[in-house]
Amino acid sequence: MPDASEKLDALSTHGARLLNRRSFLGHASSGLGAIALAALLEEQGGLAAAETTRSAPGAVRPDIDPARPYLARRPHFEPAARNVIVVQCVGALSHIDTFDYKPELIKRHGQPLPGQEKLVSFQGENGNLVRPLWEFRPRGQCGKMISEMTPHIAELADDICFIHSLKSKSNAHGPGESFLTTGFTTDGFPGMGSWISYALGTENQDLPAFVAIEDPRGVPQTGANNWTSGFLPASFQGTPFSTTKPIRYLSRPSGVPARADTRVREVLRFLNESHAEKYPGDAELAARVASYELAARMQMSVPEAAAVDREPQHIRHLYGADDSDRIKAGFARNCILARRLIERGVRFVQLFNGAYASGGAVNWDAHNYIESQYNFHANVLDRPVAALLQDLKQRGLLENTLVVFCTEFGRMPMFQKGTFGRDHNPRGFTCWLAGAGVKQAFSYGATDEFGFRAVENVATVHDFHATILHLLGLDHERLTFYHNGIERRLTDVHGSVIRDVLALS
Amino acid sequence: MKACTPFLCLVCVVTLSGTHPVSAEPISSSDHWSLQPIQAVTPPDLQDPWIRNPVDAFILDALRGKQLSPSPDAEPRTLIRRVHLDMLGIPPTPAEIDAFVADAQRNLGAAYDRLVDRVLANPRHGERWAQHWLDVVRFAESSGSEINQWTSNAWPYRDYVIRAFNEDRSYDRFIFEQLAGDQCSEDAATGFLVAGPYDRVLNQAPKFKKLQRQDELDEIIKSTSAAFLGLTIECARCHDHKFDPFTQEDYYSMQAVFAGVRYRERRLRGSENDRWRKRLPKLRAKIKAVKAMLEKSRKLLGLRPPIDLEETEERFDEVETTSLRFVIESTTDAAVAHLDELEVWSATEPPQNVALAANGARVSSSGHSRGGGAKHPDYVIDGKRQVDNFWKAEKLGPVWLKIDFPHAVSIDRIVWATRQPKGIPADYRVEVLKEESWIRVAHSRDRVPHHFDQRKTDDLHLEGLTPDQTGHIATLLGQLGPLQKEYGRLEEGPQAFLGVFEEPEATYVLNRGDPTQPLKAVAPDAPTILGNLQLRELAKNGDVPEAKRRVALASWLGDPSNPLTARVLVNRLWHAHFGIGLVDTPSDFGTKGSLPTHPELLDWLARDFMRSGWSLKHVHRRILGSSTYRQASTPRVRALQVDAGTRWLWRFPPRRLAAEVLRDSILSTSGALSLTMYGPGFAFFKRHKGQEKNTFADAIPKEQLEPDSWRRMIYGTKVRQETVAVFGNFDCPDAGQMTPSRSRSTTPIQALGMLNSPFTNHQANVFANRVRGSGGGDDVRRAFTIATGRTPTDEEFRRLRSLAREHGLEQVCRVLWNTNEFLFLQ
Repeated sequence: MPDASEKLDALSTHGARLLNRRSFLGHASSGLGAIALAALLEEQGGLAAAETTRSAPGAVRPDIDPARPYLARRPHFEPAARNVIVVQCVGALSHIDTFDYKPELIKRHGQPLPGQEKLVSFQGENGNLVRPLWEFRPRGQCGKMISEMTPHIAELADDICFIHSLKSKSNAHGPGESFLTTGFTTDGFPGMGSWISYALGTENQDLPAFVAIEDPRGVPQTGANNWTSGFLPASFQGTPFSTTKPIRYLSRPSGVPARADTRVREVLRFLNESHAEKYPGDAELAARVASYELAARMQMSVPEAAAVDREPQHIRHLYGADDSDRIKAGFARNCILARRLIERGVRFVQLFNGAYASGGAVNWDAHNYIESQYNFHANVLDRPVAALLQDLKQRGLLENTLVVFCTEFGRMPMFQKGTFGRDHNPRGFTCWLAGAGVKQAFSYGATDEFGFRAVENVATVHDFHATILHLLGLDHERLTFYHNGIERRLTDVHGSVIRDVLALS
Repeated sequence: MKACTPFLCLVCVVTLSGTHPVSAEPISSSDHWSLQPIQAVTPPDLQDPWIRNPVDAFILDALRGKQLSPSPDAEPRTLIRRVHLDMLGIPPTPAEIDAFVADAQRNLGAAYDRLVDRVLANPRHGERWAQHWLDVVRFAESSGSEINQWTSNAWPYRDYVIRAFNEDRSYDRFIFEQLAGDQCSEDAATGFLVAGPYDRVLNQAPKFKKLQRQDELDEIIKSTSAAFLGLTIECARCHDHKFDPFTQEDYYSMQAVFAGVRYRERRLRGSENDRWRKRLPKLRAKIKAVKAMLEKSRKLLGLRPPIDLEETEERFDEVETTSLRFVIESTTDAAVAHLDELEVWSATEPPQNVALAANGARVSSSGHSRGGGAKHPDYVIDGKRQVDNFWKAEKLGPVWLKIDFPHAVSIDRIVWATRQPKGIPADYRVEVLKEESWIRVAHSRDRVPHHFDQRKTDDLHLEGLTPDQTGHIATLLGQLGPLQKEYGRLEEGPQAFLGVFEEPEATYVLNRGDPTQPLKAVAPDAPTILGNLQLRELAKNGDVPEAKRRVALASWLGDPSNPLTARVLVNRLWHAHFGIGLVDTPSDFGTKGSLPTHPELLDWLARDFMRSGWSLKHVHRRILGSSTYRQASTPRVRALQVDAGTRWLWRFPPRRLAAEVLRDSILSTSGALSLTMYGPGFAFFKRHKGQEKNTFADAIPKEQLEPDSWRRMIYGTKVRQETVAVFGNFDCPDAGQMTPSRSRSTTPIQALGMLNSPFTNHQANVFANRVRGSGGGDDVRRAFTIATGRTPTDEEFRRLRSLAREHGLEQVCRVLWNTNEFLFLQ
């Protein structure tokens, strides 16, 4: 327990800044607002300067103003990227059939995988090696071999930085997906987006800091666990909405005229202000008043940001937003939404491709008929994602935005015994990065000659996370939050930045 | 509730004292404060009229040390609201407030004591405080992870906790029951063991299958060590604990205690179970009678005996062939056909199974299912009857399996077997290839249908029977079906998700936590530094019975010499009363946790608690009765400057209501709150009919407009991961990790839900209707008083009245629930 003088020291650096903030609902003049606010900051784990007995050495706690928890905050060091779009392929996208070219696999098609005959993996026994079902050919200036499955993304090879040597801790979707988004295989840990908005706040105070955009086919496999704030303050949980699913309760209730709504807010403000006079300087009361004001602004700004239909025809066309395939059009519109949010200063957008269901019908989990299923899913994914990259680039947004393309694990170079699909493979898989701070036309790490196991520059999901945080100017070892006995991190107690993928600046 | 006292119950006396001397004597070599024996402390000898009980002496002493002074008592009106919201989770009614205020004017002390007595006797108390415990153990009614399915019968544990708190179950007993309730007729209590999330995906990869099991056991270790000991022993799963004195061996010794616990449902004994049992004999007789009629008919009609669920043999005249076909027209339950094994026996001496792949046979089929892993026909000729590997047809009958022999063979019988619970072949035939055509050599149509056969008349194709005769058989089957189903249900008894106990295999220390790298076997035990369960000797002579392990741990935890148990619990109570504990890391009393602000008070309370017979209500009385608790919450400049966080308690720390209290208070003030206690919960999520067992991932939060959802929030089915409409955003834990202390955040999403949701607007109508009728401005005044517990000022009244006149009383109600005055505990 720090003694009182320590707390006052904390206030002296902290309180000063807060006291200068004239806007603190009129109580700042008394000094009480700032003092109580500082107390609340500490209570909510926010106070940077207050080193309590339990904080890790070197831990940097973001300064969080509970009345305005989303104010932009400085990272640990100069960042390469300011915001992030994660395109998350749900169900484990096969690296074998997309980005990880293996001539030996094509050559040994129909033979058993050496040393792994009759391997039993997630769903059972495996059969023989099966060549990729789509042709690979060189793309872009760099000549990167990418398959025909995603021709539009393939064309952008010169902008992309592939990581081919990832491995996961789990071979099952639930733990695997949680691991990819939260760094832990079990439920209840904060996701990447929560950590990042906790650390950095956001640039636009009228929009959520962290938006999770669900696929038109439904929610991902571990649902809200992807955007939970876990043990971080609930302010930092992702707000789920998409072009097909608006934010709940955003508009005023049906049957209540606008005039009544305005009067309700006026009376409410009056009551809260006269109540606050009895509790001068209570920061939590002030924070709640502020939250109602932010809510009112969100009611205006969210529909504006989500108005994908206001995009000009050529942009809609670029993404495929008017495609006759309803799912593709829906996903394309979500991609446009992602861009519009980033453009307006949202810090973190998690954009899902694929929903929950085993068997590969609505996501990348192709156990049974990989060819027909992937042809369908690739058509939904390819053009919209390629358009998103191009659009970000042409607007100059890619200079500040990191695009992360990821999936929870890969798939086997064999077919499962008796099926036309591939089983889960956590031993090696591919994700890619593009945009701010990463090398272009670059491939990092490699799997073995069959794509079965990562063998060269093997990277863990923790390394992947550490790298993303690094690009945002955050040291993954110093971004911590105390919970139940330990300073928790996105990267658990592991991870190191994959320096080789960072652009030389 | 009939609960045993472990120390009186016959079973427990035997298990506890008979064979189980436990010792909590610390073999402590750590000087960490929380591992030291609880000290006998005398409260500071201060003479001050502010001191009402010893708690105050400790608090005042510390305040003086900081040059702080306590605050005066809160107004009676504020006090009763605080006590009700804190202890019951709903606000007092205006009548209750008026009565208390009047009572307090006569004699404040006596009036307050009566108030405390009333709230402690009120059943709403258990409903509020059970939630604190359920947060700690992350109780939920869905499994979490990928297959986040509904566990429809986990709620008895929730009810158990509510009852235990209402009945003031002694805490040592409460611990014992949660770890070993099956040993003392308190079955529902063991829901504690399986309260955590678990992954129910069927994983075939051997390593990951083991890892899944390790994860399940890890959750139990987490629950037990955090909830009762305030320790993070799970940190020693892969290596010795980095900060606290626990070794990896300690972790696996504790795992050995729980190694037999399985995440499954179990019979819930009790009155319902007894009633079910009593019905069995009569039903058995009925079934026997119908079966006898079926057998009689079989003989009369000259039918063969039914198929055998273990394995069925079909004999036929010796025939030479190169191929055999097993054609299935239909199954007993109209599911697609399943088969584990198909044997074809040669007419040689000795006979040989010529259908074996190992003997050169090859198999093909009309098609196999590809869902959830291939169910390839290869598995029917692999010579193994495995539950995991079987053939499953891709569609309903007719379907077939064909076996080609390497050369012509003489055969005279087949045997087919399935251990699958569904898709058992019922109408089938065996054919052999003869001169390029298929000749039927055996079939099932001259067998009487099995008594589990659920086919209807039209699907029964029995050869040689008239339609009437077939109809007669179908009628008997039609009678047997429901009777047997009911018998099965009653015989299993009422089931609840409370864990199943099996005698476990040996437990090993795992190298870096890797289940494929066992190091040395360990006996069930407590962490060495804290004591020992005295099971090691027993372990040397063979396995320690499963139940004995849990009983030993439970008894050790509840031993008064355990330095942590009582301290951790009184701190949890303190935390819930004041919003922050004396130790502000309530589940971490290790070196990474905080030090207590008032270590002597903590020890005094812990001893006082044990002396009272581990009575929680005794501790509540101590706290509620103190001047410390009764202080006003108004901030004071100087005190804030010294102690902005109110850790030294110079005032009562105000805070926002928890989600449950908020929702319950809305319903209570609108008058809609249903006080129905216990039983299955109401649904917070929409499920389509027939999809109740699906994952919750795509479930839509309900708007809660139906009166059956207007019960207290603790009775809403708790789903992991998913956020309940409106109130879920008020820091409701997602039940993934344990939540000994909730975050308290303020977000615009909360404001949107409170202002705009159908729930609050609907309830505003209900509220308005409730108060409407007293005429004119009185409605507004009444609504205000019900919501806030006081009368409005003139200005407040004027503004609200004009809002009511312009836009209706509903809008006034909508405003009231959004005021800070309503939303905060002051």
